[in-house]
Amino acid sequence: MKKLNFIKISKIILSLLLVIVVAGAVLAGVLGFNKGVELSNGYELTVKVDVNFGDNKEKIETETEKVLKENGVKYDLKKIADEGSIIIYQFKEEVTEENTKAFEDLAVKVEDAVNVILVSTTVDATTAVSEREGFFGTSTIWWAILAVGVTVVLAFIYLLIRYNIFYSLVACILAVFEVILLTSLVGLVRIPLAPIFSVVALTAVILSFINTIVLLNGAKEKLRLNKTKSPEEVANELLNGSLPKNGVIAIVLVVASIVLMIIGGTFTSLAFELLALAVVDFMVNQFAFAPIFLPFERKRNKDNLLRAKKKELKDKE
Amino acid sequence: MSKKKAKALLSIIIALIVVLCVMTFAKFEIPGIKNGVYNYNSILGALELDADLEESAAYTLKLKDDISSEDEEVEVESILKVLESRIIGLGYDNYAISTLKNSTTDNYDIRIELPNKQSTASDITAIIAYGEMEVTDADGNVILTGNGAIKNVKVESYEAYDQMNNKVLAYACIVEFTEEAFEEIKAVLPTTVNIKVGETSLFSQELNVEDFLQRTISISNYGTDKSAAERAALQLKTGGIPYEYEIEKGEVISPLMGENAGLISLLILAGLVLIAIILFAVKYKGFALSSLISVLAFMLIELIILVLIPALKISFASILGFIVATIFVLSGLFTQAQKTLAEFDSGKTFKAALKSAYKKGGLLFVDVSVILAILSLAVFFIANGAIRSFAITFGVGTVVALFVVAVFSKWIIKLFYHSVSKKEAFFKLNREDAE
Repeated sequence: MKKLNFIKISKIILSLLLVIVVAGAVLAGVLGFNKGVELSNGYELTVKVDVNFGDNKEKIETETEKVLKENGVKYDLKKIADEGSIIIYQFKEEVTEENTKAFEDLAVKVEDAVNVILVSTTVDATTAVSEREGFFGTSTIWWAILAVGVTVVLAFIYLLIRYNIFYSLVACILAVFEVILLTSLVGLVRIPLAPIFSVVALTAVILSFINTIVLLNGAKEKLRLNKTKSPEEVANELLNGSLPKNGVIAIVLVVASIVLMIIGGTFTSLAFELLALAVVDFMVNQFAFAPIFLPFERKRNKDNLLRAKKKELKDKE
Repeated sequence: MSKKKAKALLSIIIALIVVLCVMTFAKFEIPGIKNGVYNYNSILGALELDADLEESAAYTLKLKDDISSEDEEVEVESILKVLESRIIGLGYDNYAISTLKNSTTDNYDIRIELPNKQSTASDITAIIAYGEMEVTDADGNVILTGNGAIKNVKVESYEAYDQMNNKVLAYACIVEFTEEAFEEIKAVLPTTVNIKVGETSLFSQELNVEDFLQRTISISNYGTDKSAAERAALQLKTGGIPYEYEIEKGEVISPLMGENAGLISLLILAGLVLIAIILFAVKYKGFALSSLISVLAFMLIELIILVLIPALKISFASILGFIVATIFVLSGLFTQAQKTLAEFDSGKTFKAALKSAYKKGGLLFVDVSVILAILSLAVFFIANGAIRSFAITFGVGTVVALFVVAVFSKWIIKLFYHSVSKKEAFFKLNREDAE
């Protein structure tokens, strides 16, 4: 099979990835992240009936959603309580006086419409400003970042013992880079941020460590066994070797995100986040490894040569 | 190993996996039991689901008094932080809090969604407990107020005897006051010291200086009710919320991730494993078949371990942890197949290549597993919320993966090697000197 030259294009692709990081950071800094309905302010419309109507749940939903459609409003999340006697619709909408008035009118319309089909029960449709931004899950994200930070430090120490300082740095830099790139891409393409994003970001760190350690182990072995090969040749061989594995992981993640997109609902944000992860993981593993690994490998070689020379001089003395 | 023996062993392993796969989903009545009816409820049925995958309890909290006319701006975020810390303190990982601002009165309602468990109803009263901690003397004079007077609160167990004179484990709340606070209490002793949070009285006892052990006192009126002691400790630790809320209504709410989210994710996982194995087969042929058996074994072992972990609740994040661990296993199997073929290409026999690849690959896999185990432990002990559930399933998966990839998959490859006639074609071996 023909070997691809990853080294040749990796610097250009890494530069592009860095542009994504900068652009994503700037956009997120200016506009903030596109937070999903679970993390942003908006409105809530609650439709309540005084009796548990079980089979009539679908009728209420159909009627309410018909009114929403007629008024050009699309809900982001729906919750069913008490076997259908309470239906809560959540909307990600900017909170303004105008919107508040519009949602109050909408509640009246929904109440009237549902009352027509359920004449024997009391229907109560109310709206409220739902405040979720600023507290829900914020502490969770910070603690998760701290946990990843601690892991990177401990992983650095472990790899330092098992390999060397340069390989240890490469693994940690790539893990941190992958999670930063993922966050930037999510910010740049305005993917809705759901609370589950912290889990997706953690997966990025995991996938990065799995791939990088395999590559570093391979590099260590190949460079030791075949001293005539340059680090560039070895890195390229390893990247060609990891292509099928990384390709399969990317395909699996893309298929998963497509299926989740089709299912929709609460899975939509996760689907887009997984798609971003598939792209980022493949790009970092195949194209960011060489430009970060090679300078460290050259420095390691230089240090080894210097050490050998010093030893030789000392022996002569 | 003879071909016959290898085939027999392989058949037993495959049969065992098939039986376990059926037991994972099947539900049936156990036949032949004389007294009563016993139902087998599948391996999946033995897993307890968390609030995002199963119906949860939702409580809408309404302000007891209308405070819309008050000049002061309601600091709703500080209230929510206290509520959140109490929820986490009571061991809930999956929860949702939202505030609903009434557009006409500007009052805030709060909705809390929690997993539906036995203690949820009593936990919610502790979560919304109102008022600061107050220490008073016998005449009701306030000695101390606010949780700033407390340095530490913890729940400790001690041996006690119940009414039947049986030895039981009882629980006490150990309260340590700050130095300044203790000096203030000491100044009024001996007296009856009362400790209350809002309207709830936690402690009332005649105390002397000697009753304090290094500024600590023990509130031990909870008997064997550990949850009650934990709730009291939580109220003392987190301080009071400035407004009094009442529970308007408790409702049973649909799963946060939607109906059947757990089953949907598991079916997606099964589909993804199949896709990965098919892609694997394109490049590595027979290795893909042995990998399929290894991956199925991994999934079943992990599921059984998860069932055995006491009080574990499976959330959507747990399922994602399981999926990522499966990807880790697949990635390990890929690497091992690749290494085996590379060793074979270097001139070794298949047996020697397999041995050498698994020796080198085993060490590599230990390296990766150690780092992933560190990550799981760090997330479990440092982080909170749903991400902890991810850490549990992923952490368990890492340990199981180490066994499956480094040991089990080698046995399976060996069994296939001895069972099949056309070894070269089966394992895509292109050299003529293959054994």
